[in-house]
Amino acid sequence: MTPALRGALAAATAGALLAQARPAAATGLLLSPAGGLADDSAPAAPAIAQARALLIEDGDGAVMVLQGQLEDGAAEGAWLVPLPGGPVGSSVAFVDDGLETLLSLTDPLFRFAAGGSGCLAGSGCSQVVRDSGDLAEVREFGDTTRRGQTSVFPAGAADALLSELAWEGYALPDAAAAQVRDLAAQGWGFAIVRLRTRDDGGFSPVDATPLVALRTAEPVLTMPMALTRHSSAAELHAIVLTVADERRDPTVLGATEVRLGAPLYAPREAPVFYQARLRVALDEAPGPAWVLEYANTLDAVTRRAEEIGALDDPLLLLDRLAARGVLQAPQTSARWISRWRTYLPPDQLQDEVFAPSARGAYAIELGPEGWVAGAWLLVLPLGAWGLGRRRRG
Amino acid sequence: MAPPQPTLRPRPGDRRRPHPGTSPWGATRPRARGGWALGAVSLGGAPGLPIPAHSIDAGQVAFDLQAQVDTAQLQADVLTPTGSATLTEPLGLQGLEPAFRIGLGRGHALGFAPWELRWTYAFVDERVDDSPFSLASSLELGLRSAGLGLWASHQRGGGKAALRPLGGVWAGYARDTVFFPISDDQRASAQGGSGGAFVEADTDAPDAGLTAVARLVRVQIPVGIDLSLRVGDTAALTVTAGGGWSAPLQTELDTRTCVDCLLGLEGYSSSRGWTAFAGIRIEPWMTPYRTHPAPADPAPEVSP
Repeated sequence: MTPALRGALAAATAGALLAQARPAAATGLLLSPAGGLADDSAPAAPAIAQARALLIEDGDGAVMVLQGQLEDGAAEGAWLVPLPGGPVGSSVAFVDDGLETLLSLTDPLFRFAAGGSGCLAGSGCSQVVRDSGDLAEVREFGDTTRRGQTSVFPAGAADALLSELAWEGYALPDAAAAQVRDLAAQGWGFAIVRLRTRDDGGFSPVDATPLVALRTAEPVLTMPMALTRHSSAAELHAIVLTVADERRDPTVLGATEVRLGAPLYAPREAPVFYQARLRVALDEAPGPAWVLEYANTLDAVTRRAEEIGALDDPLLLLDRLAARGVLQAPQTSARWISRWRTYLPPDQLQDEVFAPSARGAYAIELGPEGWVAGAWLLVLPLGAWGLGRRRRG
Repeated sequence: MAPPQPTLRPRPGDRRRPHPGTSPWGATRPRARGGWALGAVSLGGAPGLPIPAHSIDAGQVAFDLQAQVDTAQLQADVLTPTGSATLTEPLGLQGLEPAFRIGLGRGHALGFAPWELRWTYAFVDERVDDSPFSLASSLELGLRSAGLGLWASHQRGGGKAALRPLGGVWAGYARDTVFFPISDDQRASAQGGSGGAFVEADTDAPDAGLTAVARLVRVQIPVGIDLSLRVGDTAALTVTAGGGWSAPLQTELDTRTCVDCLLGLEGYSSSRGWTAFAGIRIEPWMTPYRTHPAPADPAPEVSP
């Protein structure tokens, strides 16, 4: 597949969380029914513990593809998604897959030495570090098939949004409601994604919100996380991909990189070691920070897919978003994809803006290094100058 | 389709005990913990020890047995799952290997030690020259080591005993397998690492740690003193002791294998250190040329 022009994307996302006073961690706010909606057996106050997003600069706007993973599952609720800059249009697009492939191809890569174990067929003796650990957890989202009704509220429509939520029985914490008004005053819009989980006469919990795509009006790549601050005692594990004409770096929180060194562990331990070192990098950062995991062009991602023998089209998601009209500008292979990840407690959650960066490509590739093993041999003829000396006796 | 790749998984019938978490880029087995073996292959007991700079006559033999304690350390800076650490392995005690030196005449001597040869050449020789001191150069070549030295000595006294200050500059290369033990929190099996066939049930296996081939180039400046006691007419029993300073010039660690490790190697180095040495030597008794009795003046002729 030619990695030249890729359709157009559009979208926007918005998130959502808890209800009641139960804290939640997520991109957006997850709401549970406040007043015993349909079924008293519905679990209350689910929280989003992990979030993944694809932010695409697209012409004069931006596209946000977003998904959250629920901490304990939820059977009923609504996902309130902030839309930086306000929405374009009044619909939310649901996408099935493709984000997984992009995440996989931007994973840290473990290159084995010739003769090492674990090479995948056709992989060129390398594989992505995804076997275990949190990397897998953040991507292995659960049931996302139950899609509910959605409502999109334009910028400034805070009153309408809050009225709608109240009418449906959702009660926002006062602080969250105040922040919704603040964001609306700054020109943000919102979307409500209602989680419908009642099938065949019973509730069943869902593990994740749907993967939604929304288009926003401003070409600013923003990961909305601040609204979640009010409702979570847990830690938010967030991973963000950006697609733009250049590498994008965070501007609100700090940025750091993982120090890994030359591997002194079995290849299968690579994911465990990487996850641990990622935590160390965040701990050693002077403040809340993102860890850079990948930055390169879409063309480089396509080549990487060929190298590791990926079966899926690496740019499938972009193609699908373009086909559905969410993406509008062509996505050339020269565009950059950047990947950032972090763990944040609720009090450090802030809306993050990813701005253009002049820095270059970056990838995490673990593997043996070409250590110089040149032998030293000191055979300098130090004493030779005395050889010619005539001796007596 | 890519060809099938070899695997670390033991094949049926392979009786070798699988290494827990052994990296694929190294095949060196760890050895029991101990000091560096650098000195074990070095002539005269340990590398960089001073030798008397004067010559011995062709066919004469000297016997050396010396040892050296070096405070320098080989260090590996590693990243751990929770931070960083420095693994150290002291150079420690070296030497204690016997060596023989035989004179070849004209200031040259050839020494033999296990796995090593040392050639010395006294180009200023107080034994045969009218010189207040001796200067010699040395060249060592071994299976895993090499070295160059420039030595000076001066003998004072005579008769039954003599004192001989000596010193010099030595630079050498050595290659050996080293082993850095690791702590429990640096073990893969203690950090929730995957086990499978490569992690032994016994996580307290004594050989958990980093094994690597070290290549070290360093310079050493030793000074010491010999107390030489005359034995008979031609032999001497010499006790030698002293100290010095050593500094690394180049350090390499390669062919690394880490058993049950969950570490990233960020760097390695060796430190400067102080040395102390002592030993004994059985050698020909040296009589400085300057102390030779001057030939008697011929009797004046008397005219009849």
